[in-house]
Amino acid sequence: MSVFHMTHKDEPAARPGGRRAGTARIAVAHRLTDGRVVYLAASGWRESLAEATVAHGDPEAEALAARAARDAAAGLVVDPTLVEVTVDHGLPVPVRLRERIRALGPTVHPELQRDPDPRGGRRVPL
Amino acid sequence: MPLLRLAPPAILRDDPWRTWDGTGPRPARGPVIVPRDRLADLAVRPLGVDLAPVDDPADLRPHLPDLALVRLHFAFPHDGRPHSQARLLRARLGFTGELRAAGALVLDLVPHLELAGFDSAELPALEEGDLAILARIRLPRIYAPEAGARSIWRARHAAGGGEAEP
Amino acid sequence: MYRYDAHDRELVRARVRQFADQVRRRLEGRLDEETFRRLRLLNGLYLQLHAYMLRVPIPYGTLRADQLRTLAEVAERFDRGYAHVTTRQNVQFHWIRLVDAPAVLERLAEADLAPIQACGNSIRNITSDPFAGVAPDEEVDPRPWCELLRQFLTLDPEVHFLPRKFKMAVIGARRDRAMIRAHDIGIRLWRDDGRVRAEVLAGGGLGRTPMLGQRLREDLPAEELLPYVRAILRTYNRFGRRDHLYRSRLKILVHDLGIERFRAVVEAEYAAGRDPELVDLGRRELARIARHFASPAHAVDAAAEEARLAADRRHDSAFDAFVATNVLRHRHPGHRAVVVTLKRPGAVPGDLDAAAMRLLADLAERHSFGEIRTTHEQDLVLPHVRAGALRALWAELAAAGLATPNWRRATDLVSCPGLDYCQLATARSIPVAQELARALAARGLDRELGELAIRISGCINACGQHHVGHIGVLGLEKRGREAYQITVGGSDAEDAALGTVLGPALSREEIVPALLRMLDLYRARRRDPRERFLDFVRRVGPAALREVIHAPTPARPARDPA
Repeated sequence: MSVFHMTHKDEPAARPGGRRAGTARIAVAHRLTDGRVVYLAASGWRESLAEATVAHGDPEAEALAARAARDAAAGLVVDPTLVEVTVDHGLPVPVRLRERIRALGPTVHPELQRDPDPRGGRRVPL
Repeated sequence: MPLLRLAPPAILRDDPWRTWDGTGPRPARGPVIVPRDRLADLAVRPLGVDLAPVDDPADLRPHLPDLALVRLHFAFPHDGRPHSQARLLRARLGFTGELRAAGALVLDLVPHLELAGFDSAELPALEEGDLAILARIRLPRIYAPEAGARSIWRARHAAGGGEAEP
Repeated sequence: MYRYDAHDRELVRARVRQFADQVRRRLEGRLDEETFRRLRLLNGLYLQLHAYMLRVPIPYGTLRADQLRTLAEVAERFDRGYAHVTTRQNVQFHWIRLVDAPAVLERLAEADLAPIQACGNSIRNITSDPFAGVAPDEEVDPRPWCELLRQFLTLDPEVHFLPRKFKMAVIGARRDRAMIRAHDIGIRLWRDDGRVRAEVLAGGGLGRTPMLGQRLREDLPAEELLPYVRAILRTYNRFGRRDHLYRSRLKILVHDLGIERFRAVVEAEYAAGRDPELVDLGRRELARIARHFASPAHAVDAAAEEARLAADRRHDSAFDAFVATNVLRHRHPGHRAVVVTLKRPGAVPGDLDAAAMRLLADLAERHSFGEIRTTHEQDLVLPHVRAGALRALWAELAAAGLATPNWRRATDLVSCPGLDYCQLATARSIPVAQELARALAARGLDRELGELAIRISGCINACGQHHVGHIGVLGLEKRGREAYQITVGGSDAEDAALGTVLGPALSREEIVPALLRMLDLYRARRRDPRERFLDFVRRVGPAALREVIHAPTPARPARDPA
């Protein structure tokens, strides 16, 4: 059983040892119990993007992927994926629109959107 | 490997059948399951046969009187082909012997095997606790008459009635 | 309206019990995700971009008022207060928690609703004409046949593990209001000297490789449908490809074999496998089911109803406009069917909040014998309204913002959830729908453009059915940005056609202005106001529209190939 799903076959960030060495990556997944989008942080899986642990370079990314895969195997999360980010004032901002929407919630329901940085007030641009 | 006998309630039993893969010494006595292309070579009884998902059950027609068991193989858990083979064996070829499921089986799909008329299943690593799960996840009935005594349509219209309640 | 009997309830309860056990074991870590994923899909639970989505099939689009109220309750107790009507007449909840799923299924089962086979590689909801039992041109009421097929194909092991998903649609009129040619199996029932016959089509489907269904039989005696459908499904189950995700739909098998050979295989299987007991039970079960679909008591003073409606229309122009677009003739004198489009310009197409669901349930009880229908255009229908009650109904709909007079007009556009919700999407579709609808409404174009089907999909899987839109928009991802490709000339009706792509994709900023320019060109060059956009495209050819799509400047005179 593969617990490490590729969400998009041409997404370089989905590969722990991707071609683009040196890029920054975070781990995203769904919490098993409710399906909510969560990010792997030092303290475990968190809802806020701002807390996500940013892996710089392949060795860190591989370690992050291994943690994520372990937690998926343990049944904490489902479909863990590494996504590429740029870091803006300390806030990891996913490169792909898809992942920015995943961090924010549906763009067509402002009332359902979530705050990626509840304490810091930093914004994720769409 | 203990064998799961499906007739509810499901139970675990030792498997009396051995498998001959077509190589090595020929088995001297049954019960033995053999490859499809070696059926004609053996006079032992009871005799069973292996069918792959792509095989046509109609090819067994000349051998049916000699066969006490047909083992159907699931290439992956959600392989639907053995279910059609099972229907063809039962409804079209009139096979009344043991229908056995093997291959990539998972416990949670056993209720469908039972509904499809399988008598037994070779599941890896079965535990006694799994029998309790099977009792909880059983699907008692479907509509179509192929389900035999477990057909809702048969039950509804058994007495020619319309809205009979179970 | 069909109601479960004790047998139906027992089956659904066993299924709910089974899934509740599987959810519990998954949460306890005793079931791995890969095994569980397949099980939850066959119970309608899909993991989307933000959360689990639960798809609730609305069988052939027929919904009772109490069922709609149950959906409202689920929306409030277990979701975020709203639901979404899909292009296959289903209802989806986008925020269901896995831990709540068993309770949701139990609640739904109390209302005769079950998400069995709503996702996964099995027989999906059988869709139908939303005006079944209502339309004056109907020859055969398709609903009892849909219910018969629904039962036949529910949890049957032989069709529960197909190579890929399987979609069926059944209609009973010449006019195709369920796009049967875009389904794996499409069935049109018709009457021949009092006997019911079935035209059977196979191998249609949109998605990555769009194909229109081809005819297998023109005049199958309808009582043979069960063994005949069984033969098609057995052929597909045995011989359909399972080695490649994109090559495993029935349409590929039909295409690879050719319709003649495919038909020969199906006919041989049908001839060998036809079980007289199945035909006999099917006939008796159909008769039992048909009693559930007896026409409600429509005895009214038709002349008085018509007179009242005519007077109401004269006195209120807004009501008159609504009647002109959203109200249809009914087979029973003095009655009408009313379409409630979920397309107020700027709204999310197909979204419905709990308050609106409750209001519609109340209105259905007061005015439509407790019946509601869903349509594949993401709208709702109140099928049996007295002509004289239309104005009171309209007033209540209008007060709730549910009386937009735009059925089958440009702003009644269809859109899949797209990248705002969907794992598979490559671009957003709802914001394009919203921007386009607002622009069209601001220009007041709905009335002038007449019948126009705009369909927007957020990826190649085509849930927005863009291939069969008069105008289709396909959202793609190009170099990390959203891009949109336009098709024109598609149709989902009895003259079904797949649209033609108009060149390379446009950016998010360009797409709506380009569509508006294209519509300006049509308005300027159509033969007369009765020439629909679709007829115009058929006359002048798609190429005539290509240059205005990609021209940054306003429309200029183009060559007319016609």
